[in-house]
Amino acid sequence: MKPASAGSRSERRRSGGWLMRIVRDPTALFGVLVLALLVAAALFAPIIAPLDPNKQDLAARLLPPFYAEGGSAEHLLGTDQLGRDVLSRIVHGARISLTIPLVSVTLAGVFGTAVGLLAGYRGGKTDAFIMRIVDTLFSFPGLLLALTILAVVGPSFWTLAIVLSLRIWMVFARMTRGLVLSAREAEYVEAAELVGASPVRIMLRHIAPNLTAPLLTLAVLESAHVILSEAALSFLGLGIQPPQMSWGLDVAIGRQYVFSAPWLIIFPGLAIAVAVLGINLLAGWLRVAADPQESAKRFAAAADAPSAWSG
Amino acid sequence: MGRYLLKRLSQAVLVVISVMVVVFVVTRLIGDPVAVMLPLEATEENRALLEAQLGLDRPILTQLADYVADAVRFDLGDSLWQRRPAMDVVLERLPPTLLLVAAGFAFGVLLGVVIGVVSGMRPGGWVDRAAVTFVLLGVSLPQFWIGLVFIVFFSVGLGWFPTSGSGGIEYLVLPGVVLGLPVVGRIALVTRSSMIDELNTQHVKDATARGVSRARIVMVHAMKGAGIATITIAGWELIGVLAGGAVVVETVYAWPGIGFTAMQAIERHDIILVQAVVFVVAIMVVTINIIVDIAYTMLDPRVKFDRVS
Repeated sequence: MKPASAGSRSERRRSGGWLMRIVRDPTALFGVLVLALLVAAALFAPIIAPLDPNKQDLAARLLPPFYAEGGSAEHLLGTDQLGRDVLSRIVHGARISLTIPLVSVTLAGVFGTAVGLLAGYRGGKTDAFIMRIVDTLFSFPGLLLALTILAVVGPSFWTLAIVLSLRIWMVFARMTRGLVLSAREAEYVEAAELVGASPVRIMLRHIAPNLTAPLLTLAVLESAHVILSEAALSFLGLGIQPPQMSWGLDVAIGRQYVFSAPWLIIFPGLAIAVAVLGINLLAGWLRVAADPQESAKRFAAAADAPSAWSG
Repeated sequence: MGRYLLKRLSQAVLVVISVMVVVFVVTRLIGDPVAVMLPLEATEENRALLEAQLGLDRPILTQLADYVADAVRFDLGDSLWQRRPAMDVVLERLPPTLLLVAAGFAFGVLLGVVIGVVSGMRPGGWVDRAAVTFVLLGVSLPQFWIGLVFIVFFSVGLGWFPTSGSGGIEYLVLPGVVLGLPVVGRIALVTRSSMIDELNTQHVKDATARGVSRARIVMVHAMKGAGIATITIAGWELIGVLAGGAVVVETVYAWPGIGFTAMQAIERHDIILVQAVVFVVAIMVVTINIIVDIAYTMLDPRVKFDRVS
């Protein structure tokens, strides 16, 4: 929340830049690796996936994973009720799990930040009016309302992405407003105003730099929420629809075979869990790394443990 | 206090009305309720009949006004699926949800506070590391998935609990725990963080210097400060459990509450029943918000009633 000070800059130089700092922190490294794996899976799914995720093979239905009796190396994580390869479906499922948060968080982030800037910079009645709407939206029953909207409008990639962004844009608006308000009170902003800098210049040169790090951290954190929401909505049948692939949707299908073929729910769910865990770890590390105050608190509190999450 | 309550109440009514207006706009203007409710092979006559029956042939503003006026009187129309007032259906299914939410929330808050206090007392210690890892898993694992994995493991594998449905206390254990898991995580994080802050304050250091025992310091001095932060987040968590988690967990465990009912209503294209569930949940959410605000104001003398908006 504090403007980047000279101290943190010199510290960064001393410890060898962002990349080295990530490599040195096991939790951040894990998060980055998970994210890299996800991006790779999404981009190169047809190359990485061993088989065609939609190819049915009724002779090879409900085959167990490789470690179980009857499993084979051909279908490492087994097959589903139509004989489709579970591993290949998980690799392809990364595409939706990555694009939905990308689209939703971008939409919500851009809109929310714009609204927050407007409220924070204009102040007065504009601010009061906007924040009243934001507060009201925070009291909405989120998931239930999303379900209702999707049931009526019809679930699809875009309705899902928009409904999910409608659920989170207020978070960006509220944080941006708070940051703008505190930045405006900083002496260097007052000084810039005194020497006659234009509002646009003050906004871009003096206030915006303070927003980047916290908003970026928030965006990472919110993508984890979006992945979970997408998975839950797809699981409930109101998110991604077949033949599109989603981990949550695969869990929903596997649910009918929970007694006979538990691997159908275990592995797609595990994929969601690892993705969300990785993103949460990265967000946690970013929050500390971007905020000198938070960093000091954490290091002071846990002197010999650079990261409490490494255990 | 009286004026403050009145102000908060009117805000709450405004929130509920705006929720209903959003639902109305979405269902009547963006969506086509008749098309959703009727089967594919329905004729134009079927369509006109249902429209007239639901009053959808009237001007849209008249519909909205009637709709809000009826909702204020707790009349949301008849459920298409059950053919009786939707409110009756919701109120009938409400007690199981309240039971489940109460169980899950109590589990989440109690375990969360214990984990938070213990790990906040010795940040960086092994208890703290284990707790923070556990907490992180709690907020990262998808709830519906944990629910299913628990069924595979505890019901199918070990045979300890029934797989789904309701009845005695044994039916409540799995859904309650699953519902409360994310709450454990977030409550623990907040309690831990404020615990660390509180233990570093001057009055706690003074108390230590006076020779007050560690247990007393944690229980009396630090808990008091940490409690305020915990209560605020607990209110948010309760809302999340009620408006989100309950729908998912009830569906996984076929728990006969309003969340499961909402999903059944959606499957049967019963928009009216879904609206009734949303309405009731919205009322509960704003009520919790008011209670949290009041508790917060009473606990923290630094917050004045007139300053809270």
